[in-house]
Amino acid sequence: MDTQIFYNYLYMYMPSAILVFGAIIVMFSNVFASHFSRNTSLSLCMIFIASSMLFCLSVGHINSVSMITLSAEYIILCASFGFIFLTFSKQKFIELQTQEFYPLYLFSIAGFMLMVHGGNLIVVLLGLEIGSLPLAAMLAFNRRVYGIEGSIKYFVSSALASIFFILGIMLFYLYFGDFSLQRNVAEYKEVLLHGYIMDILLLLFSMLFILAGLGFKVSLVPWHSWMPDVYEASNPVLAGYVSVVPKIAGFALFAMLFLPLLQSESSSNNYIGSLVKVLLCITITLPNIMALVQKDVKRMLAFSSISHSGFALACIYLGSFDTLVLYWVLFLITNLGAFAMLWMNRPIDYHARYDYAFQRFYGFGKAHPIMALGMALFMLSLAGIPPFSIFWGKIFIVTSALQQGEITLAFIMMLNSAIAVCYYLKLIVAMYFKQGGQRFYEDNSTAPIRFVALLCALLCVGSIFVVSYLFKYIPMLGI
Amino acid sequence: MEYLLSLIIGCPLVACLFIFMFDDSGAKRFGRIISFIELGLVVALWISYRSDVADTQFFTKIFLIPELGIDYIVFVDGISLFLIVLTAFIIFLANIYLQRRDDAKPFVVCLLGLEAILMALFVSQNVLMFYACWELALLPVLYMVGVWGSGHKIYIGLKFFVYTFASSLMMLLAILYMGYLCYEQLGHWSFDLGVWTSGALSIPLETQIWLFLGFFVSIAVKIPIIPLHTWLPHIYSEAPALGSVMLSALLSKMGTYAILRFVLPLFPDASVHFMPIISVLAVIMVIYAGIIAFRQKDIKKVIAYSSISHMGIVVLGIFAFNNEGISGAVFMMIAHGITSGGLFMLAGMLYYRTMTRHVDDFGGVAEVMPHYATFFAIVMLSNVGLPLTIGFVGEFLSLYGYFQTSPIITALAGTTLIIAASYMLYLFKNVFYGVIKNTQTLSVLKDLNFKESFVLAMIALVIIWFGVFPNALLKPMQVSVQQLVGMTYTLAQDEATKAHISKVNNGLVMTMTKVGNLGSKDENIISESHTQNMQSPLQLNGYVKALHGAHDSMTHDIRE
Repeated sequence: MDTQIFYNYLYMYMPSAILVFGAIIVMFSNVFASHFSRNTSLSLCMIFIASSMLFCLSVGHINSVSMITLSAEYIILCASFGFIFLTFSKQKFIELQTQEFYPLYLFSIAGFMLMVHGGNLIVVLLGLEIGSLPLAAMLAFNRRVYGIEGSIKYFVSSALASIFFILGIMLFYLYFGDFSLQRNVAEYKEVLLHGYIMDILLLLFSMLFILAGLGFKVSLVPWHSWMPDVYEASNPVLAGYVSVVPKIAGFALFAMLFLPLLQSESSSNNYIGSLVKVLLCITITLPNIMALVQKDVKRMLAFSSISHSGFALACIYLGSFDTLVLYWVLFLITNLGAFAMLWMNRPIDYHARYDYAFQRFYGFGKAHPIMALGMALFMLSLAGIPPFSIFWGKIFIVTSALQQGEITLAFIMMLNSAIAVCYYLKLIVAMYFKQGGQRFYEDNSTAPIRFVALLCALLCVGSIFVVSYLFKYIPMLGI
Repeated sequence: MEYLLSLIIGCPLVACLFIFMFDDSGAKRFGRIISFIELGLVVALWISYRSDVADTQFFTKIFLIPELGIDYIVFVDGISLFLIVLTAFIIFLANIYLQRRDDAKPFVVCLLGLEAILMALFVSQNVLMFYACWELALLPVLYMVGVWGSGHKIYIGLKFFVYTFASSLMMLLAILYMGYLCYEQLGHWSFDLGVWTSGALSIPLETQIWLFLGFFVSIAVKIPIIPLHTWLPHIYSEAPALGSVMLSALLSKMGTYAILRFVLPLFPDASVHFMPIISVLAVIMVIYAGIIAFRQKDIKKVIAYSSISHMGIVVLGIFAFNNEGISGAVFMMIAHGITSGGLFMLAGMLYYRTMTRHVDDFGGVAEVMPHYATFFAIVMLSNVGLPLTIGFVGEFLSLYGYFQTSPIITALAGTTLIIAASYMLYLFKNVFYGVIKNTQTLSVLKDLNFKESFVLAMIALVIIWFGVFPNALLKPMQVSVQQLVGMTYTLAQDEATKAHISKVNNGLVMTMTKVGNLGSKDENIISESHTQNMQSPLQLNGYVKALHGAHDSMTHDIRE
């Protein structure tokens, strides 16, 4: 192997390698330490995530990966850093006292980092598995019934997704005799868009299987059922991680595979395009209706995040990954804030059916005015009330939909924003307008958690500046 | 002075952050001081506003996302000026009136927050900024209703919120489509109203109709226009007194303001196209709501339906498309804000003392509360539209303006004077005269205290002052209204539309020169030529003076 290629690969995969190295260090430090210290493991974790982030900022790395990969990597690392930062909690949790949690967390990030490179489909599969399997273990660490249930659900459905994905890759190999995506992208685009249906059947099926496999990861609607249970099973930190990181990794791959098909001039037999459109319409609408009847805040947020996945898919359908990046950054800010607020309240009674039932928030506005204000802010942002964060994301999606002449789609998205506001308001209504005095939560907030929440709140309120800042770095942004 | 508008927006907003430092009574006092300062700033704006200049004034622009045309742009003209004054005045009175002993703090935050949002709404020239304020204004009101309301307050508050939010998403879609049209035709995204109305955009009639509907659905819910009014009677009656004041005096004005600011100049052809339907709806509003008001047993519901009824006249005045109609409508917006705000405060005072709003529970109140009864009578007469009160001028001018379009509809709408008189006087009779029915509660009623007297005296003063001297308001708005009509005329593409506007104005339309792909509005050159009757161009000032003269004589007639 000549040095040029070697350095290229080195720069490309170094961030993942740093994380894997970090995971091993954390594991060994726990093996040889006389007693387990959460804060040490946590700090080590954060150091390695930060150094991986620093490496991603290097010129060598930027030059050797594509724009899609790079932006997905930034989001993954920022999100993981933000969520692990929340683990500095006041109370002790079983899952966070488990030594294996921290290496597994790093492994999972490394996996998703590997996945977003997307050069070779085998490496992608490897990344997918490295990313997902630790999550199943991490979910079960809290040793509660729901935790184990969620973990098994996640494991089984993710295994099923992997099978679909492997089948897709296999058919891809059968057609091209090659696993590389980049080398074959021009050809499969040509074939899929203009080929005769009987000739492209093999490739079409390969794409469909890959779509289904990825659909699990990004929780598109027919494959979304694991999401609410996983949310319920995990503590807010992990739930937030699941809602942001695997999805952006999935979307990055989605974009690499399907953007060439969707960006081109529409041809008569763009089957994938029509399929994606149907999928995204269902994904936006159905969970919104499901969310209306939920009794628990976390389950409600789960369904809302599925709906947000639909919006993100709409960005890909409309052919601009940049809008997706913008949307997902805004979603990350809001979601991180919302989960930080939930995390500040540890349920006293762990055996009730729901940890964060709406009924437990009655009278919350009186008891904890500032926390309630923050929570209300994040709910309003998620609902897309201007000028808070998600509103701008929606604006960009709708403008690009109008640009493509997809007025029906724009209309559907608007309609769904109207539905969404109903269930987000449920929490605000419970907190401010209902009476209740019983205490259900004990304080779990520490300075770092409060700092993260405050930062998210500020970014949410001033999200117009976040958007205009991002504009400088994402030059065209779908416009 | 350049940043006066930003100061007006920022002052209550920043004050909101500091309220949390106070206790409840301190917060109330702080709220009064801030709203008084705000009123002072607004009065300074009014004084330094030059009413004979056709340009936008106090123009400030700060770029936020220039690539998408999303900027912070504020300006003021004769139409928005008085809505700003109204907002500052009503919020000031509301702060004085605020009676709550416990949890006054959130209430003051709501009031000041709403003030900042409404100020930003009335002065923004960027449509997305306008839209953001349009949505944000719902939140303080939702909070007021949800926390301090009565009855099924949560259901009613949510119905209000979801109804308005869902409908305004249609407006957002239309706004974004306008931005896209800009991109398509001019090559850059823009949400600047100045660019949209510069004449560089040409919107085909079919698109205009769709966009018009998008805007109009949202506005119609806000005003509300009759088939979309179902959220209103409940929330007006179940909201706390000040919540109803905010809703009827200020929030319903957002809708009519949006018609004037966006719908007329942007979609002139569609506006004229839909004018007959909207006029009929407006007449239905006037008569139907009036008749319903007559049958209500809840004092606040009577006022609520009366409010719908009067907003019908405003809509009619706007769709007259001429100077008289539109200045009448703007005047009526102010008048309605003060009158219905006053009525809701009066109803709130009674409710505060007796905890009932049912008309049958009262009777003979005038005996125990003579001062209260006097103030009620003054505000009521203004609501009825008695000459020499503020309510008369607006109604008269709006109807006078619409007379050019259709005498029959005007005649039907003119019955408002009779209907309003009947339901208001009927209410007055039942509440204030007769025997005291409910002796144990009513005979111990206290008359007004100092704060209440002050608030009501201010309202009564304004009602009579502007009823006698309407020119104090009409003159400064004159140029802007002419400019608006001229802009509507110039931007119309259809000959029939031009003919209609010209007809209802007797041919006196000031046209604007279309500028090409230029930036902001202040680059527009106002040139005027009388389109049909007079061929020779006149000097702007001379023209304005002539019209002022005409107006003076007209208002003179009214006084006689």
